[in-house]
Amino acid sequence: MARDGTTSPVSRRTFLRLGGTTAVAAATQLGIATKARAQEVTFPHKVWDISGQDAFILADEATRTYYRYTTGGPTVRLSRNLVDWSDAFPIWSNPPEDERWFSTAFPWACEVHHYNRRYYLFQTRHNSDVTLALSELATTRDPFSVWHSQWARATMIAVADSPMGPFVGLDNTRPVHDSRFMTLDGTLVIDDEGPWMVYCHEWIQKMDGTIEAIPLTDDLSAAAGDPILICRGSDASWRNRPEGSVPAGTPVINSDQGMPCVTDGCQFVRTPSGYLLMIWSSPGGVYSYNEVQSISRSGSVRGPWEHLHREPLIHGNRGHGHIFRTFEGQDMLVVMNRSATGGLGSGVRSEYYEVEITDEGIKILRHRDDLDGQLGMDLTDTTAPDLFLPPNQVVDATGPDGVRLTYEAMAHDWRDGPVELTTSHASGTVFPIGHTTISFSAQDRAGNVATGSIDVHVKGAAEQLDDQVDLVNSARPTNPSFLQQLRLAQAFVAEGRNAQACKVLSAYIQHVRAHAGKTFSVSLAHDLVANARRIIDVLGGSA
Amino acid sequence: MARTTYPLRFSDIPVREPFILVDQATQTYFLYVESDTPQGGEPGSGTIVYQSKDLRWWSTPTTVYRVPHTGWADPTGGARSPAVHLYGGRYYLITTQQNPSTVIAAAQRAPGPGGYDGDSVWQHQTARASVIAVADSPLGPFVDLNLETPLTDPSLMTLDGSLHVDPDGTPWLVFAQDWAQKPDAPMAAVRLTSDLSRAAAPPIWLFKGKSAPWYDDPVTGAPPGRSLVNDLQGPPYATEAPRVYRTPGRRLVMLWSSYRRHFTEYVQTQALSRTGNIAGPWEQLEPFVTGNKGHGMVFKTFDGRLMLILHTHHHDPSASRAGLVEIDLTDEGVKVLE
Repeated sequence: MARDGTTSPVSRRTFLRLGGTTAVAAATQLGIATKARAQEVTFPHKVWDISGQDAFILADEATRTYYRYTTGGPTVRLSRNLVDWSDAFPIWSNPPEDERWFSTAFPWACEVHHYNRRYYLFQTRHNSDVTLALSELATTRDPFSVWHSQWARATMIAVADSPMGPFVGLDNTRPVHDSRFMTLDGTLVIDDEGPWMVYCHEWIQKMDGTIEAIPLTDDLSAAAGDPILICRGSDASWRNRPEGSVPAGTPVINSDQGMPCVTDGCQFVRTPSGYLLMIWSSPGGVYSYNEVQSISRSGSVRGPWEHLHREPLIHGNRGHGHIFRTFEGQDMLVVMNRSATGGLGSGVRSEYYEVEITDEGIKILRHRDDLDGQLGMDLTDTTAPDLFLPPNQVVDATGPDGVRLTYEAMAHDWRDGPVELTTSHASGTVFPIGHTTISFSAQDRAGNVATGSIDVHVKGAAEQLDDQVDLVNSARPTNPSFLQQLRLAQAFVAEGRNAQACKVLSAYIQHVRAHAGKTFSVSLAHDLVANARRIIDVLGGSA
Repeated sequence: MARTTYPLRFSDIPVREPFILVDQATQTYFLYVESDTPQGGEPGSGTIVYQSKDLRWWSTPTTVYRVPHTGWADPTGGARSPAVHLYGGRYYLITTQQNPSTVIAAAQRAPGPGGYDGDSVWQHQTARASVIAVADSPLGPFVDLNLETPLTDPSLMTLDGSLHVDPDGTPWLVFAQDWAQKPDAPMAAVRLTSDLSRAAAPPIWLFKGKSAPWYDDPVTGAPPGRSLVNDLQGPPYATEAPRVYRTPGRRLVMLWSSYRRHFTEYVQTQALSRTGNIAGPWEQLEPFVTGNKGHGMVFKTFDGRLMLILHTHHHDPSASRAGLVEIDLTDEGVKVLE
């Protein structure tokens, strides 16, 4: 099975067996769209005039026609240019009530994949009369208390010989997975093992919604194994960066429940090296509805999945996107803007973005306002890198020159990933006794610069002797001679008579040793001796 | 004053959430635990301390703190998770107190089937937070520094605070947020004023409970006997008992506790801050004591060994005892010595 057969948009296969015919002819020949049959298909609807709810675009190279499926229907609209669209033609009719598990409530997130020379419709169906669990009132602390009532919902798969249907359910009697799972937004992914349905498991059931995958038989009619976990809504990158995890102006530690963690709209593409890349939506935080990305470098649905710690590639109440390749050969992301305003149409509208698919993730290249008529997302990067610095350091000198200090610091850009951190004093530098400021800076590709600094305080002999006095006092010795010795050493240090100070400290060390396990605990005596030896080194003496 | 005797074996002492202070002045180990401390015939909560010279034989307990009747907390509501720190020459006792009658948010039943409400309050949320008291002796009596408000904002349900001090002396309260308020519960820290009586700045976020390493594990991330993919509501991602220690290379190790196997197994886990900064970033390491033991802290014995003390039998409080494990504190985290 070809790796690039993952999803139909990026498939290079011949599209229709009716190859070369027009969409009009295809519709006529299949005889499903009455309107289309009666007359030539026209494209009277601008994209900004129609709802963009969960839009999915199948680009058919053979007929150079775009087929668009959404929530609702299921129906299809056709276009030649992504701007002008046909009426919505029905592609499905519900089977009789006693032959289906789902109600007539409209489907969500319809999408069509070209696979094994046929077309497969994935649609999320529901039945609110089939209750899976009932909400409980957690009046006492109970980690197992059921938050939300749960009912039947799952993705059902149907097949047709044309992207225009008519689609026939492969199994209308039960969902592909365990019928107790409440799931949505199923999609088709192919890897070396074969076909998988990847779907979102409702936050309504899980609280922290998940994305899971279930292997399918080759005809997609049934499960071919047990489902696996890909990730959870809580894995969304922005939920792990405090500034992004809350709405603007809200404290990062707050009383909001922070749930649900929604998972929506998982879609897959292959990177140039064959990695499997998933985009998915998990609304919340400062980003509202948004699109994050995860990558499986093995190329397998089984992962391991890395959730890119990056700014959501799409945000601002936008998401549930789908990536396809235009007839001009450009990889294009269509997303829904759930609150489009200021452009040619308002409400839930599609927006188009040219993207580059790399082995390190998807990059948004530019917004195509010429196609979608919307203002689009501001792509300017104004966020400087995050610096992770040590706290101000207070360290004891180990010799007359000070101390060789190693430290760890790093910089990470929310758009670009890890970036270089430059510093005035590298880790491993010898810092002299006294105060030194280490300054740091990092710059991202857009030129945003972050700077920071820390203070390094290296304690010389006098300060270390002060600490030694405190440490001796912590044992509250009744014998005053330890403190008398330290006072004498302090006086010699103050006069610059280091050799005499060292002599006193040597005697002090012997004295402390003799009292280990008596006046001082063994552990404290050990510390006192080690510290005194170090002070002697700082004074340039020998014990 | 009667001479202290040490008639109790460690295994005789029922212990939850243990905390040991090592006092060099008296060369005595002080073990603090929560207790019922009736006062004038009235029930009450507080802290008691057991003393030992050798960790083997222990004194009978002495009451060192009582939850006052004049503060925000319910005096019978408990004084959980004691932590005692020597700071600036005085002893500070931090306990988690609560007031069940001060409701922050009332639990709601969500609409449905067919309807839902993502803002519906899952758990009943009532006042709970860390309180700090001070004394001149490890034997107390500890006196509250701030009766009006806890150390964290009263809108927050927090617990298990302990003190962390930066190399330059800046004090922080490190604390957990309650999963009952925040199902993916953050670990957090708030800078304190130099007298430790109140917060000096808004709290910072350190990491969240879900960042523990086991949630994707097919065995320890799943309910007992079930697959990782199932129809059960996910467990809350609890954070508990943060205790922070500096490694030889000036990194920080945080010991903390949580639950694996769908909230059925309590474990002792740890995280590493390579920068040495309390702000992190925090890298999660594997749990190192499992099987319903945890809530541990580290101390150094008078003969210089590093020990972890934690509680056992997490789900059976009456059976719980203190466990002692010899450890090494390395730049790669805590290692249990065989």
